[in-house]
Amino acid sequence: MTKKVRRIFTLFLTMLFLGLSGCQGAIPVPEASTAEPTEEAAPAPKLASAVETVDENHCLDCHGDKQSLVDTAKPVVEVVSENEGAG
Amino acid sequence: MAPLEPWEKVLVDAEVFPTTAHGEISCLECHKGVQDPDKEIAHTDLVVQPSEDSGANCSECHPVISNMFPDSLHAGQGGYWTVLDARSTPEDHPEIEEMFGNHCQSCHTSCGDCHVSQPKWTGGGFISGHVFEKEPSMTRNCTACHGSRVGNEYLGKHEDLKADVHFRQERMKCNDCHTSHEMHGQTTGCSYCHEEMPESEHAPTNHRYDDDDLQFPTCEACHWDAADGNDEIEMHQSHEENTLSCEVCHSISYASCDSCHVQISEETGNPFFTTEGDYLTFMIGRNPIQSEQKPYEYVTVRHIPVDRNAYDFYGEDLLSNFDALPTWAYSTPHNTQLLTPQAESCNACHGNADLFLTADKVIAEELTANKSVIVEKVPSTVEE
Repeated sequence: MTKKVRRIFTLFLTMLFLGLSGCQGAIPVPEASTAEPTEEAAPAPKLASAVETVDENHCLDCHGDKQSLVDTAKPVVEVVSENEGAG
Repeated sequence: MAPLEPWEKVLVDAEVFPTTAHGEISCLECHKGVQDPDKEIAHTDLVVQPSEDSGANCSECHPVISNMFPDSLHAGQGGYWTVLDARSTPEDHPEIEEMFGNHCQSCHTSCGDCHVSQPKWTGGGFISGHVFEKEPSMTRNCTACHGSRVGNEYLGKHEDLKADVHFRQERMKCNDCHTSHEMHGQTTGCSYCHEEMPESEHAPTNHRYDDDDLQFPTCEACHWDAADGNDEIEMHQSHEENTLSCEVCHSISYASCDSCHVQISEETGNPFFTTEGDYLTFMIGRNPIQSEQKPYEYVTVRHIPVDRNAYDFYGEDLLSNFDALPTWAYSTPHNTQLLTPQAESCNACHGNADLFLTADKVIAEELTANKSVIVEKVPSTVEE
């Protein structure tokens, strides 16, 4: 078999395989269980993950980042202690 | 202790804190405020120190400690009131209460002052990036407040004076002796938490040397054989049980203070204090609070900074019962040593008037107040 014939044969087999695959029905997917709850669901805990998603925890975004804190810090007002002697 | 940088005080360890139990709680749950990227809006109605209301913020998970803590000396500062009540009269209480609120109350402590942050008066700031530490830091929490006497003595910060042997050799920390029961103000019976224990009640402690409650910690709790002379130390055997507190033989010089006055600054409006003297002493006196719990006849005493006119800024003669308590107070120096100058030999102490608080060492205005402490006759020398 020449190289050209071998290529044509390979192409033919590929086309045949794709064609047959297209005729195949959809693979059945098991339906998600929708069982009725048997008792009232417990209230969701007040956890960070429930109340504040990672995207909206602005507290940690700022307080976990040194540069943010440096940038937003108020100027330090130095308070000189007027205490004298050992406390 | 060097103050932290402003950003350092409030930097949360964003990797570790969210993985801890407290990190699972929403920030707003304890600190209020608003979820907003703008700092000013986010800090609306912010609660900086939620544990100031431990009943609301800590009790859900820590109900036992939260119930007991308000009666603890750290929270209520009962010791201050015990001595203020004794030295004043009820008529003077409004002025005394005003003074207390302006000055003494700054030492009030809540959960977060030991488990999250450095004390406010040192400038505050997180200890470990807002990670809650079960065991407080000895130097950044305990001695940050209890520094000028206890901390300096225990850690050996006075020139030429060794650190306490418990620290020097064993690296013991404050809470090795001062347990969480003491820190949290155990006011109920043991069975409240430990079901297997017999029922008994403990009254709230009124003072750190309270007579009505068991005295903890004690040296004898660990060195029980030394206390009753059942070890091999001759000096332990030759002194009758309860004659001397352990500190009489095993302490070295410790700090005394004189003449504290408090007032509000005309210039800044801030409260401040002045003390006149701060010096090292070693003085043996008679035990002014002898009891079943503290049965010793002789104890170490230190001059405390109380002054007859300490609160004159708030009113005249507010300490009208000044003489009700000594100014040389029962003390437990935190600089224990195995070998001390006074215990070198019998006569290093016996006959050595320098070590005893005799009348000539007390200023005339304080003689009446110290009647119960002054040693009238120095123990005479013995044949060695």
